[in-house]
Amino acid sequence: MIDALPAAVEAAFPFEPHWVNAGGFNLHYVDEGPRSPDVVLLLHGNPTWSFLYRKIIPKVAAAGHRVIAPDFLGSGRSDHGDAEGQYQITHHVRRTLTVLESAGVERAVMFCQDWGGPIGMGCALARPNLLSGLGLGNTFWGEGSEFHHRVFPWRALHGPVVGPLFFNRRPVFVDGARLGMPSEVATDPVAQLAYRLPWQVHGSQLGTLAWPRAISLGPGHPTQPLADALWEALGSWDVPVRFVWGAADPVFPWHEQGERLRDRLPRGHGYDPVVLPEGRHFIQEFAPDQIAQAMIDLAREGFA
Amino acid sequence: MNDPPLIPEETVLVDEGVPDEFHDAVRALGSEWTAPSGRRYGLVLAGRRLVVTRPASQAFAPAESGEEVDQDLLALGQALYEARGGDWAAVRLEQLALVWSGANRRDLA
Repeated sequence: MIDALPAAVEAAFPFEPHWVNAGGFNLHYVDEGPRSPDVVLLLHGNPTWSFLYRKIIPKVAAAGHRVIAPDFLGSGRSDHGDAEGQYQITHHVRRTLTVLESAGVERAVMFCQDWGGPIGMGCALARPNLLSGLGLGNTFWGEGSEFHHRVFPWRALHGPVVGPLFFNRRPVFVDGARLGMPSEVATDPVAQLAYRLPWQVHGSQLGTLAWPRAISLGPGHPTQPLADALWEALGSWDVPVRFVWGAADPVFPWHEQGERLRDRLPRGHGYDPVVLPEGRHFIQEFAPDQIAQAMIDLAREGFA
Repeated sequence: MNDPPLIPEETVLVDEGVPDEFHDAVRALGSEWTAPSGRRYGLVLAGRRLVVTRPASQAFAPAESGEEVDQDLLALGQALYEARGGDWAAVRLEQLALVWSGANRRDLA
């Protein structure tokens, strides 16, 4: 765990830390706004942390909603595991449910980006009364996109020996996250210090390697049963939905993951999606105002 | 009962997720692999877990820097990809690292 943040990072991320022990690991989460069992849940992906939501949290809290943004194991201020098996997606789901139970959460509208999708939706699957609204941006349900099936530039990045080298011994992947961000964030020393912080403090970041390897490329993959269960459940989740999506993301293109999710969800066509032509993978850095407004709207509708 | 070796092997890298499609490639490299630098490494694959070691026989060799070991590991990864063949053989890891560092982001699209 990271007890104290560098002053510059803390200035950009001025939220009181909250901690819970989940399965023997200390997990950090942000918990802002009024005490309520109804929360706006903001879920990050790989290789980021709740810092990704620094511009969104205050806006949603100021609108009168409780906001929870956890750091998954191996991310942000949370503990790191020492074995890839500790990072299985079902374990992430279980630990996130522990965070929610500890915080007294009964209902959630959630924004899911990247792995926040399978983990957040996995929580909804495990706790049927939890989900009251779903915000989606550049995410998926556990099955790889066309991008993930390509050897270059994706699978070769985390192949045998190369994966531990580029993810754990060298921050190739962590530093490469800048590619999915706006240039003003990619060149902002404070933001880059924040995103590199977990790697810097621990000298490695095994969790970032476990995630790409957990993307299912088809039947027989350990994540495929969860992906199948989520796809099945998505067709029955009659909750309000919002999409805020970056169209310039080669990982999760709007026409591939976005439109499929929109078609699958019963209320997926209930609202016009916000699709930013210039938006890339880390859509929170491109569209914080749009995401904040979408979550405020979802909370109003979902908790009515 | 065998006595443990007086000088244990040094673990350099552990990969817990070697896919089945690479097991033949690992075996093809053998239990000891020599990097272009001349340094030798032990390879032990058990299930999906690959352990890369510096053999005890090199314990008294001059200590190399982390940078040098990483260059050897990059070469080991390249050797594995070439032994795997197909699309993997064409991947140049230095180029891949450059792409991900942002030197040529168009290659990602």
